[in-house]
Amino acid sequence: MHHVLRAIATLLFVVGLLGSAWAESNVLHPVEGQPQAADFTLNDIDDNIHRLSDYRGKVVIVNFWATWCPPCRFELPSMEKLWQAVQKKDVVMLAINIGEDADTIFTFTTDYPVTFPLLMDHDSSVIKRYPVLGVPTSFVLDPKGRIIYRAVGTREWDDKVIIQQILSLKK
Amino acid sequence: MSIRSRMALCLLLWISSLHAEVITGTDEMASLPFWEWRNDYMTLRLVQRLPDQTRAYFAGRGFQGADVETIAGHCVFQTVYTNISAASHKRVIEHDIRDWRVHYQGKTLSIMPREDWQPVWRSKGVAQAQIVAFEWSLLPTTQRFEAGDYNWGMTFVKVPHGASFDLELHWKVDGEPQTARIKNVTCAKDVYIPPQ
Repeated sequence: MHHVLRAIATLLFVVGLLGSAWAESNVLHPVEGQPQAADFTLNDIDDNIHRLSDYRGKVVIVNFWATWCPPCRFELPSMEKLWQAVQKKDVVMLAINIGEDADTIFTFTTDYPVTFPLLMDHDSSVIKRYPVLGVPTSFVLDPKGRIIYRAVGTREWDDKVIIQQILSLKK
Repeated sequence: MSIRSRMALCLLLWISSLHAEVITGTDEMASLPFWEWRNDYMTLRLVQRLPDQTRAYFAGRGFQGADVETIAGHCVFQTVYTNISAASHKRVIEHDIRDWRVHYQGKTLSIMPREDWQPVWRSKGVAQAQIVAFEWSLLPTTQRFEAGDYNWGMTFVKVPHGASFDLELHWKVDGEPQTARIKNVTCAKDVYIPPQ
């Protein structure tokens, strides 16, 4: 009886593993209640000022990251590919660095070139107003400034499923 | 949750527990030993960090000599926690590392979470930028992982360099408490390893 149970369990386990294919989990998760995103004003490394509420009417991707965070580095290339695909479609991407200065970030972009704005949250006052426990964590806001999706950890941002999730918020 | 649903969940969790396993080896990225607990919906990997790596990392974040030594005096692991459940059969995993226990030479110890470090740094007058970098470098104290979510972060264990210990894990899956034990996790020795 025990052998039969183990065989069934093994079969279920294998099926479970097959079902947990990467593509299935590379999605953005809906945020319950769709809360309004906290407004902020931050400078980017080129000294441009970004106020979140100024982007009302657009879909906004807010990503919290740091240069010393390996998974943050891992997802930057796919974020850049996403940015190239959506920047002319009323989508804004704001990558908010935690606690580092412009020189550090600028040097870092030599190895990880990106063209979307890199904002600086020097004292981590902005990240603490968002439901973030670790980096990277990202949020996708709809044109009304509500948090619709979240992602804890890395995503392949240029995946067509994620692009579709983002662009569908424009309606 | 109905009784039937609860029984089905318990059965699934029991089946998952049959296939839980601990894998050890050398982490490909770090080239250092790792211990990984895994089942069909989650993986938790502890990767050794050399004390010199820890010193270099926090010196690079602006910490001064004595403070760097305070940090490197702990046994530090890079910890990677992943919800690998499929979106079609997704599970929600929650943890609080304050529930985890370290068993070392008959003593039971706790993991030192980021909140416990803050008063240490403030009493030493460490600058805010360093405190921020330290805080976000650690594995979050609590976390809720949906399918595909994961986090990296350092965990700190106060055992001597080179010592081995058992780590008792606690988490919840879909609200149901779970526990597991990773045996003979070994803290890196405080030695200089030349680049290969």
